[in-house]
Amino acid sequence: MTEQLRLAPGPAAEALSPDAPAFPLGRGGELDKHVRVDLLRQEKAIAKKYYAIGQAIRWKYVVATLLGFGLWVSLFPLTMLGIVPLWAAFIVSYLIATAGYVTAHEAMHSTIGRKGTKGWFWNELTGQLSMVPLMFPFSIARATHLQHHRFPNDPLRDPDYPDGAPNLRAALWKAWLNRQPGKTAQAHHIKKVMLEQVGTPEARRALKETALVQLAGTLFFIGMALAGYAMEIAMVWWLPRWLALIHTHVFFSWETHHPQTGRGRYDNTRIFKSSVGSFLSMWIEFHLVHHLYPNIPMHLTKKAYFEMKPVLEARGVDCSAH
Amino acid sequence: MELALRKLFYVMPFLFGIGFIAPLIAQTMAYWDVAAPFGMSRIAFGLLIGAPWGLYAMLRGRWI
Repeated sequence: MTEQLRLAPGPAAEALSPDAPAFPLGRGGELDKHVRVDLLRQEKAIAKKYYAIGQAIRWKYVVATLLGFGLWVSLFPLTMLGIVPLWAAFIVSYLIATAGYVTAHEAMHSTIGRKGTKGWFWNELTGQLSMVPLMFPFSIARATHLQHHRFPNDPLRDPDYPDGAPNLRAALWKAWLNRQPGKTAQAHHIKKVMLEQVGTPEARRALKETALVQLAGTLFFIGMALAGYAMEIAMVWWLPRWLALIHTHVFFSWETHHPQTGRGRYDNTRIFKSSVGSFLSMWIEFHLVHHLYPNIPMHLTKKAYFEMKPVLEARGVDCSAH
Repeated sequence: MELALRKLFYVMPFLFGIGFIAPLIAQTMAYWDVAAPFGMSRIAFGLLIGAPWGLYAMLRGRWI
């Protein structure tokens, strides 16, 4: 008669537990408001901790950018003089251009220094220099990225929406098509979003800067080729840039938001295993943490995620990948 | 200004074909010590590929 009632794990079993809530709380969207508030409080406490860690080491992004940019520029004379072989320069340039997006990305979120502070100069310098190998002005990169954060996966308002594709192979092809000179170019979508959705003077200026930078870059390519350095330019800038652009669009944009269905705080991106691994994806596998708290530096999102994981799981987030 | 830029961007693939792809082909052939066919100079051979390829990209809107 005193034998306890045994139930399979689940809401009913939880209800019999001594510390169970008076009514089922559910998961994800079914959570009680007080639970949601408490989970958010826990999330924010963790985010605050990693933001502070990031602020203490933000100078590393500046140093990495200055070293990377210096090395990248030096590849031009070093290959022209035959000191560095072209294949080695190609690999180094590709890695710098790809990693440059990550350092620029920190600057897009003003992680290195906010406007009006002493760090602002270094923030802007980091952003500007990091984007040079990609031949893409920092102004448009920041404007489009912040717009992406406001409206992730929105077909009309997210500048990154054209990166969408059903699978990796299609995403690689799409990244190529999006960079073509004709109607398939993502530039048309970006222009439309910047003019019709953002519509600020900064957005218009960023578009003009983009046109001028890409024009100047192409003329530089042509000038150097006519001067007899076509192979050096191709291997140090043209081809690495192409590869880095495809890399960033596929592995930093497509894979993070695939399948682009969610638009809510916890489902507009995901926790996943990157096709190219943690290093080459620059720890973007924990992209949800970035969208929740963009001021946590990218390389700290992994640690922040593992600390936040129980809270996210309680929210109903799929944390099975890591 | 904007119209001029737009026109320049439209013809840019062709300019890129003759200004970059052609010398790139010629200089790559010289690097590997490959002669151009039919007694052509390497730059003429580069232009023979670069110019129509750039024109194709300009008209079609895609390089491939």
